[in-house]
Amino acid sequence: MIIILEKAVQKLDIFLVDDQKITNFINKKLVSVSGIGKKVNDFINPLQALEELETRKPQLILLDLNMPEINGWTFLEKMEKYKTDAKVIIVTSSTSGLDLEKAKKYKRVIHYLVKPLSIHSIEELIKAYKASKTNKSQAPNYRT
Amino acid sequence: MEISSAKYRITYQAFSKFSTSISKAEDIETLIAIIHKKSKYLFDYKIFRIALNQKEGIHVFTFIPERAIHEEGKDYLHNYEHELLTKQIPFCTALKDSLFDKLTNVDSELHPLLWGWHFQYNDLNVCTSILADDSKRFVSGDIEMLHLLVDAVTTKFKELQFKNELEHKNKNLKEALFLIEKKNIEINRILDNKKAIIAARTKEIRGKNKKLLEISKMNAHNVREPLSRILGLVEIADHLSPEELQDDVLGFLKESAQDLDHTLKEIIEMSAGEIDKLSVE
Repeated sequence: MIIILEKAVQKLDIFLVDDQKITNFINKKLVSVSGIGKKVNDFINPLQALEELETRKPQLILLDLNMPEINGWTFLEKMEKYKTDAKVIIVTSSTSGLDLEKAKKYKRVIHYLVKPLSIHSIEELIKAYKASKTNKSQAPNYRT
Repeated sequence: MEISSAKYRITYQAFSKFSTSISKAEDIETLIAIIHKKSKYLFDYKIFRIALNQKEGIHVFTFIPERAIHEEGKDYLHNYEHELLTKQIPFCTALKDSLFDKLTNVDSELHPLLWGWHFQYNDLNVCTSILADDSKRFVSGDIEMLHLLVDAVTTKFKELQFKNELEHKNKNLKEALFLIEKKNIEINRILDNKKAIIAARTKEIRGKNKKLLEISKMNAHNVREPLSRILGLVEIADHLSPEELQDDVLGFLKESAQDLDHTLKEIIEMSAGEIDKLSVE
């Protein structure tokens, strides 16, 4: 089934950050099928993603939490040192409530998704991004 | 008549002093010493015996001018005293046998006489006897005084017995209390010890429980990671070309399935290890 985006948001520059190349492959495919992405870059090394933040200026980052070099939380802390207004969606295989609560403390984080992603999660993701743009003051309100 | 009334006055004064003295006695030995010292002012005798028979045992007091003897047990009773205690018939008879030879010289020329009486005080049987002769003359007029003396001595004796009994019971009670106190301290110490052991064990078990929960959480996460890849690959399969399926996805599926298998093997080994550790403890 092919998803046709109604009055599609402008297409986005997206970063996929996950140490698993297979996960990046899946997510890239899902983004491509949904047609939301303008440019999609995937990184298995989060440090490299950070370095390219200012040059590539992504609007949305799908971020894994459990990674060997630096984990998702550290990635979020380090992001503050770069000039970027990218929104972040956590994509993790952790179903821990603690991680979910922690995610809510970051303004930049607009949604929290549990792997695996599906066509349906991409729809959710688009809604969350739209909401974050139209209602900036509102704190993120999401649940798994 | 004048002489005899003067004698009685003196004797009653002596008895009054005697009563005062024995009322102050704190124990049976003091009582005996007072009787020994003062009874000679009340009447004359060569030997004076008092046997007090009660269910707790028999006390025999023997007085001669030189000393007083205190014996306990029915073996110390003379035959005539056994008879007195059972038949309770007073007597006065010439002493013919050598019953008291060890205590005093008995000279048959001086007409030795042995007197015996029985008195009953509730649960206390008392028999008293006197050996007298012409040198130490006991007369029937002295019997009343003897009776008074035995009354006073018996009353005091009972009082002292009660006192002894009370002191003994008090001492036993104190010992029991002390023992209870000691046991209580010991029990409390054991209880405190047990509490500490239980607290330590509980803490240990809580710690192990927490560790196991953490392990199980971590395991769940580790299993979900490759599984989510497999599910994801299946999810996108519809949107892939046969070439992509053939060239990439099949390999990815294989790799992810192997990762999942590897993770599960690790978990099984780790769980077995934890179970071994627990069963060793």
